[in-house]
Amino acid sequence: MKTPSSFRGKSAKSLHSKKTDSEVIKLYLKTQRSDYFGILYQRYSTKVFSKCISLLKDEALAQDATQEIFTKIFLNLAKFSERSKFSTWVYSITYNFCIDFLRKRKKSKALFSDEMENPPDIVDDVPDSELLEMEVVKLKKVLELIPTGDKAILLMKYQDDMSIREIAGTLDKSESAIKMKIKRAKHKAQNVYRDIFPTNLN
Amino acid sequence: MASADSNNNSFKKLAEIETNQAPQPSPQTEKNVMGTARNVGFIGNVLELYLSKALGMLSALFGGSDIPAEQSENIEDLRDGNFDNDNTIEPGGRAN
Repeated sequence: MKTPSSFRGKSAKSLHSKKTDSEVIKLYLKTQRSDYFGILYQRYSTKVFSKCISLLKDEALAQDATQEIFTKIFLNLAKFSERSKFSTWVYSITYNFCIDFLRKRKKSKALFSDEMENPPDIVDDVPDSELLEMEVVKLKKVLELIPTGDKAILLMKYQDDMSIREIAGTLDKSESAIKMKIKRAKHKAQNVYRDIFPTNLN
Repeated sequence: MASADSNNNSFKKLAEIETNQAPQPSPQTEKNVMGTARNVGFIGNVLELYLSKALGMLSALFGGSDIPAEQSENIEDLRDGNFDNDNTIEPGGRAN
C-alpha cells in the first residue's frame, strides 16, 4: 500500500497500520483523533482517485471529487453500519458522487443504456465469462466507449464484487431495475466489443 | 462469476493496473480533507462544551431560567413558603 510521506499522524499510523478498517473506525469514533481518519484516507485515497479519473475522465475534476467524497465519508462515518465492508461503502459513495456529478453536468445525455430513447430489446443474456475473460487492454477500450453509467454498474458488479442489493442501494433503484441495467450494460459492452474488434468474433 | 479471483477476472486485473498507474491525489487534497476533519472535530468539541451554556444564557435572556427544572421548582417552593416536600426525616436522622 502506498503511503505518501505527507502523512501527519505517524505514531498512530505505525501503531495501527495492521488494524482492520472496522477497528480504525471504532478508534476514531471513540477518540475523535483525525490521525485515525488519516489512516483510512491513506488506505483508500488512491483507489477512490483512480475510480474518479476513470469515471470523470478529468484529473482536476477527480481531485475535487476525491476531496468531496472523503469529506462525505468523514461526515457520515458514524452512520457506517458495517452491514457491508467499509471498502464497499467507500466505493458506493464514490460511484454515487460521480454519477450524480455527471448527471448534473450532462443533463441531456443518458448515463445508462436503458435511459436512451429507444433502448434495444434484449433477449439473450451475455455470459459473465465473455466480459471477465476479455483481454485487459480490450476491456479498457470497451469500458471507455460505453455510457458512463453502464461502465460504473459493470465495475460495481465485476470489479468491486458489490451485490445486486448493494448496487440497488447505491443507485437508489429496485433490485429488478439493477438486474435489467446490468443486462443492458453487458449487452452494450458486447456490441461495442464486436464493433471495434470484429476479427475477434468466435 | 464476479467473485472469481483476479487471475480469471479482467476487471480486477484492470483495477490493479489502473491503481498502480494512477497518480496519487495531490498533497493539497489530503491537506484539505484532513483540515476539514480537524476543524469539524474541533467545532464538535467546542459545541459539546459550550452549547449547553450558550442555550442557558439565551434562555435567561428571554426571561427563562438557566437553572435546571428541579432546582427551579425547589426555589419556587421556598419563595412560596412551601417547605412540605418529600424530604422526610428517617429514624436515623437522615433525610431521604
